[in-house]
Amino acid sequence: MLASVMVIADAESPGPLKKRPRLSLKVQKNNESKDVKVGKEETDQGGEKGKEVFEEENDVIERDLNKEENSKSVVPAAASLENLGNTCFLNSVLQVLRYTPGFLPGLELLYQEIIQVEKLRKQDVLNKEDAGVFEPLESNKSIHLVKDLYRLYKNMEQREENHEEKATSDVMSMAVKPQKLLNIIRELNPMFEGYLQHDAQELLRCVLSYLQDSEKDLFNIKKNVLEKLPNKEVPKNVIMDRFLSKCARLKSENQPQNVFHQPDILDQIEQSEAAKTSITQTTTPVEADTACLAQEEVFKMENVPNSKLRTTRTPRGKKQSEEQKSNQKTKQALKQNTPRSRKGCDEPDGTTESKGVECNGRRKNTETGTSEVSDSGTGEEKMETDCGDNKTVNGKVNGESGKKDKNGKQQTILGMFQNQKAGKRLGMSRTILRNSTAKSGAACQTSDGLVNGHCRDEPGLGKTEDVVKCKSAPALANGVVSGSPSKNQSSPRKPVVKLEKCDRVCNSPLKSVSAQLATQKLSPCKSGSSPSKGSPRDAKQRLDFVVTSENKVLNSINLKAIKTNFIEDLFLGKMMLRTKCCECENCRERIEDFHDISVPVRVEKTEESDDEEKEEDSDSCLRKLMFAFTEVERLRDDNKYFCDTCLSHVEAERSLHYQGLPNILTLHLKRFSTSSGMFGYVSKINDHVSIPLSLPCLRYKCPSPCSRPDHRYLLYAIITHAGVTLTSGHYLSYVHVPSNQVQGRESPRHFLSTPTRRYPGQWLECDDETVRVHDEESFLGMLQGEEGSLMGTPYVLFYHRNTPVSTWSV
Amino acid sequence: MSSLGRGSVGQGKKKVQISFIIRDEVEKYNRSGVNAIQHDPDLKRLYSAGRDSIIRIWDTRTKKDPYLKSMEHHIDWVNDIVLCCRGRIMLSASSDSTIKVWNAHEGTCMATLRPHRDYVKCLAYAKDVEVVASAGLDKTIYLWDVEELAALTSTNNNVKESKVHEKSSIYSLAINPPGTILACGSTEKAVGVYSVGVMDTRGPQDIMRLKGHTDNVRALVLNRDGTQCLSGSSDGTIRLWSLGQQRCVATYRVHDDSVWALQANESFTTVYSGGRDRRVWATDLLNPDYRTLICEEKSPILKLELVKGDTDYDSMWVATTDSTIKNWSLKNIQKRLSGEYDNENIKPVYTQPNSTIKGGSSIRQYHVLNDKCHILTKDTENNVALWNVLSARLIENLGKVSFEEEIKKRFKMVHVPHWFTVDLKIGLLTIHLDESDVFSAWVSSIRDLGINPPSEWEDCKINLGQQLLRALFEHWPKSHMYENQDGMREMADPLLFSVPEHTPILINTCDDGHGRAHFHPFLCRDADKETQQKCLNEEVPSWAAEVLAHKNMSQTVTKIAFFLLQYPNSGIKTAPKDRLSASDMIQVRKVIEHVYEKVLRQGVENGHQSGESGDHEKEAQDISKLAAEKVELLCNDQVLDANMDLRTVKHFIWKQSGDLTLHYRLLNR
Repeated sequence: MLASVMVIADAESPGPLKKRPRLSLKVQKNNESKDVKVGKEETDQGGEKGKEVFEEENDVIERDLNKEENSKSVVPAAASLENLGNTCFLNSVLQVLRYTPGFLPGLELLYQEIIQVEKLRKQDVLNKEDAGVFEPLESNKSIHLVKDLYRLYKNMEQREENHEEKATSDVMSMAVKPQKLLNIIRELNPMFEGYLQHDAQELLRCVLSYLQDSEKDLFNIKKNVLEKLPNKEVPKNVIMDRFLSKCARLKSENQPQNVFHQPDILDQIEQSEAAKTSITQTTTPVEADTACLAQEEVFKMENVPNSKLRTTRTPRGKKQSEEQKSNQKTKQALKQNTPRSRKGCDEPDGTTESKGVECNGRRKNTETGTSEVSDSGTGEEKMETDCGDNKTVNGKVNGESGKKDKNGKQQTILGMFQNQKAGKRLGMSRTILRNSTAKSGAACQTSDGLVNGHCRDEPGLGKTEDVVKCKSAPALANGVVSGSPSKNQSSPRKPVVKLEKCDRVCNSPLKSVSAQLATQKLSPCKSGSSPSKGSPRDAKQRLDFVVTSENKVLNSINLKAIKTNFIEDLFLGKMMLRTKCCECENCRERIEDFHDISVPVRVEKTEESDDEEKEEDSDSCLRKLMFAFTEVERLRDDNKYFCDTCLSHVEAERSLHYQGLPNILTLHLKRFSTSSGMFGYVSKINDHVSIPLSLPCLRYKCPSPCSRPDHRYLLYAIITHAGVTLTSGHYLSYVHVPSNQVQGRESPRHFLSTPTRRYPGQWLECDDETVRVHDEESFLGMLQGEEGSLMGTPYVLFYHRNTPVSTWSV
Repeated sequence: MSSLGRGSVGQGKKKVQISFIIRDEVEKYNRSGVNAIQHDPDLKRLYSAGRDSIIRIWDTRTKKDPYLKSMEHHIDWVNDIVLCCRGRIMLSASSDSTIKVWNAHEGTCMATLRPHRDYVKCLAYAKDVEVVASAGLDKTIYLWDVEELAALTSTNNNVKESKVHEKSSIYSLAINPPGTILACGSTEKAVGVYSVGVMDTRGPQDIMRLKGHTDNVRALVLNRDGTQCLSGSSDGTIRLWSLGQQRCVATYRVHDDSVWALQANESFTTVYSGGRDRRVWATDLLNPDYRTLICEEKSPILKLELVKGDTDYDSMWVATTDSTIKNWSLKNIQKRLSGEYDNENIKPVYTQPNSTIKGGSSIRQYHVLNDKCHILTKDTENNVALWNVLSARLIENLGKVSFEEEIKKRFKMVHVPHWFTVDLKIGLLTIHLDESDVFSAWVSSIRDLGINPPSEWEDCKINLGQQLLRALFEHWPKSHMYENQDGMREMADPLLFSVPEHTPILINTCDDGHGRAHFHPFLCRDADKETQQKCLNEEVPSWAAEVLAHKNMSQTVTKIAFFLLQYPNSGIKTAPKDRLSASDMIQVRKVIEHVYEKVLRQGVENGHQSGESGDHEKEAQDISKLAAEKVELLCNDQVLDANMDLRTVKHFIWKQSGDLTLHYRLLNR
């Protein structure tokens, strides 16, 4: 295997490399010293000593390099993997996985999810202040594996992107070292320790099952974290959260514009930004409840919280407006809201009902104008100042436990603000809103404090909070019976500043959690809510916006929908085991999952097989082998079957049928057998098996021939093995590069952009560090053994559904 | 517990099993499905071969009580029977892998042939030459000369057999009356055809394979001159083959499911077929469009037997997986053949059978109660019954009640180890005793088991397996008298209970690696007959003979290890934690006494050395009483019933592996 390290992609791999003018010196340091040449840049691959030794020398050589451009000798623009000592079994599998349709997007999702959960947990731990319990996710090895695997692929991707600068004629120039991944795999399964050759198929199974484990573990961890959260963080507003997260994203990605593809939405964003300004404001547990939306039903849901929020807000708003002599419009708006709030109250939800009562009371207040305002007014004013303190504290005390709480509240407020927006669409003009909000801004801020005091019993906010608490008490007393929603005249007063704050908030993973929680909790209300007419569209738009911009984040937020199980989605199939009693002919059927199909290379000749079949040529076709695999097994002689109907031991036929086939069909040719020869000696069957580029439908329920295109399979990768035994020899893989048309469009991010661009529809021969490009025709020739042949004998075959990834049902 | 027991599919070396069947002395009704029927036109008798292992003879002239006689010698399903020599001789094939030769008129077994190594599934009879072919799951076909079989005696037991090996399990067989052509159907999904030369010493010659069916071939008929063959298959079709052309000349799709039974008239113009879809069709072979649905049964059809009237066949017996056999008229069938295609809307020509031979019920489900002595069963008519294994009798017929309810109702918190297995394959309770566990069940009292033992046995520990074996072999003289160590002959202890004398007992020996079983069936009461004695002396396995003839019951009682600790809350000083050991049947009462005497009274004892040493027994009783008043035992914080034994405590209360831990606690009264 090590020998292959030295093999360099030279004339043998002409590939369709395009000649491009190269500006960097590095690129030109190619042709002459082909054997061992390592560019400096490669050192980032993690100080390989051997390489470094050469470095100086190389530098010298490079200077003298023939500047003449010879792109032929440059290795193809496809990242390869370094052999770390008999690790070709690993490399071949990694390459195949990389080119497996749907694998990289799934991995990325999972990775994002891990990052999310990690943040979450950090928050959670900080909150609890018992960091001793904190156990980093990293300690979960399978999760660790995901991260390493993701980074490795990222690395490969980068390498490819920078191909022009980096690639030389030396194969190492495009090689990535999977050292970390190998380490973690070895940790997970000590079997892979040492420098022995291992079975690529076993490794594949291991890696996939670890990935599955990590999905499961992650899900559980997340669930745990989420379970803990509700108690501490009840008051959360999903919508707010979403917005916050969105904002965060916008900021962080520096690409707000392209996210908003609808002008309307832009408008909304403005508002939302305004809303963000109000972040400092408050909410109540109830609101958090009401605020949750299922994505699809945002608008419906929103109405409910809207109305509620507004109702809750109304008295306060009224007071404020009275206090501050706000204009009549605000009043009107408020009035408008109030009836709506009643509507919302019709909801069966208990909390809402109580609110409804409150609302009514408050509405009265609004209409009549309240005298009680005075006390609260003073209180509020004071609170406002306190709030200011709060904010500053907020800004400073990043790591403090108090922060999180505030964040949560702020988020809720944002959510409310969203609602306000909706409300605005319904009737209020923006300006009015602004007015009112601006005026109430102070109050809002106070209310933040209020909420803090109100909702939090835990210590940790420090002085400011104490003050707030004191202040909030009167506010609470003030007509706001439930104490819950006395606030939220959020105002877009200082958008910019607040936005920053938002960002910070958004960055904390908390929001997503709470959002999710809320969604889960509140989903029942959805049905009961009475959507008002104007808002749905609005909400919908907003939703769109949220969805598009936040696709990933949202996905990772949604607990239920998101239990990522892309491994299962890609690789899991179902087969049915049917046992038929030969006496009464009743059938027992059992359905089993499978990840790959092991295909015996040699069909055992049963005595029942027909004479003609025996004379069949030894060049077995894969299809025949597969059918042989599904052939009936007879339970007889001493191995009779106990039939429940006959109550007796009878002969029976056991047969396998494919019921549901996976999106990625893995065929494992059973080339290694212990049966022949001595004990413990694993011999290899080198029989030629002709491999078709496409497989017909295998489902037993389908008529033959099955005409459904999505039941057909196309070959996209092969792992081959050259050598005589399991523990010796060399693995390499052949992968099919998807053509642009097929895959390019679908995924939002293209993970294989470089190879796809350069070698669409061609086959790559990944032999550790070396990658050679074959066009489809010559590959086919190799496959059929016509011109040249594959290196090694096909061992594991990978087929994907004959339909685009996007259409694969999960 | 309600799982279905495994039968005696033997593996390994020399394993001997003793089994017995709990049944009535006379089983007048078929207990289970009927695999085969034969009609004797001379005596107007019908022979039915049942899955209950019994061949019954019925008088078809009386409708009221047609039962004449049972032929009981098989121990497993009888799969096929043929009547030879104008009804004088009958051959039967069974899943016990034997073929038996019967005097059909007398109903006695004349000989047993054991060449097959697996279930014998089918027989075929060539009337003209008195040749019978047999075949089964061992893939082998044997040809037998019936006259020769009939002449077999214990001294003249040489049989010329000629055999053919097939490639897979054979499920159907046919031979034409002159015995020149033999056809077999197998899971190979093909019909194998052999030519049988009577004078040919080479045996049957394989002449062709008829391929076309896509599943097992379950029924075959050959015409008289062996030029045509009809085959019925699990693929649902009937095919007509021309042997001359070696091809299928017609395919009849009259059934919706597997075809299991075929008959044709002598002129080979009409085929009668039945199968899994429960329907019996008559189909015109020349014009398949003409067919008639004769009748519709309630269970899948296993066999058809045509009965010849004055001119042609005028009625037909139909055997199904149900125990009842019905006779259906075939009159006017020919005229009614019609060209209807739709299977759904066709009404059978006859809805009522000519006559019916009623069958009985077979047991479908069982549950061994915790005392490992009583068994609850549920039969095909949903009757629930309670049986006692020890006395091999039906205790109570509970009627149509809920099986699950009865199980719940009869739950007792006792734990007795398994010591037998149950088998329902013949529709009756068959109890198997195995060397490995038959002696594992000791009980301290069998009074609870519905048996009143003689008073001297009142307090003895009893091994259920041993006592049952003694009861089963009650009539075997060797079991009465045994030689003690000094060579003196002694009388054995009296029996605690006995089993019905008609109980069939079976000594089943799997003595080679092929799962080939030798079995020796006899009735309980026949054990003292001269010939039987001789056989028994050889057949009874040593593990049974030891307890029967030598009374060497190994007294190795299973010990149970446990810790006895003070209950955490009581105020007594803690004794050192000793690991105690006792018989697992010891009752909690005894442990309480132990606690009372050894732990609590230790200090007191020293003070006043038991003054009244006179009445020991009384004292013991007093102690027992006292102890029960003063001390109670707990396990897992649960107070234990004094009558419970330790294994029960371990099984139901301790519920874990590892040594049992008991706590004692003083009662303050």
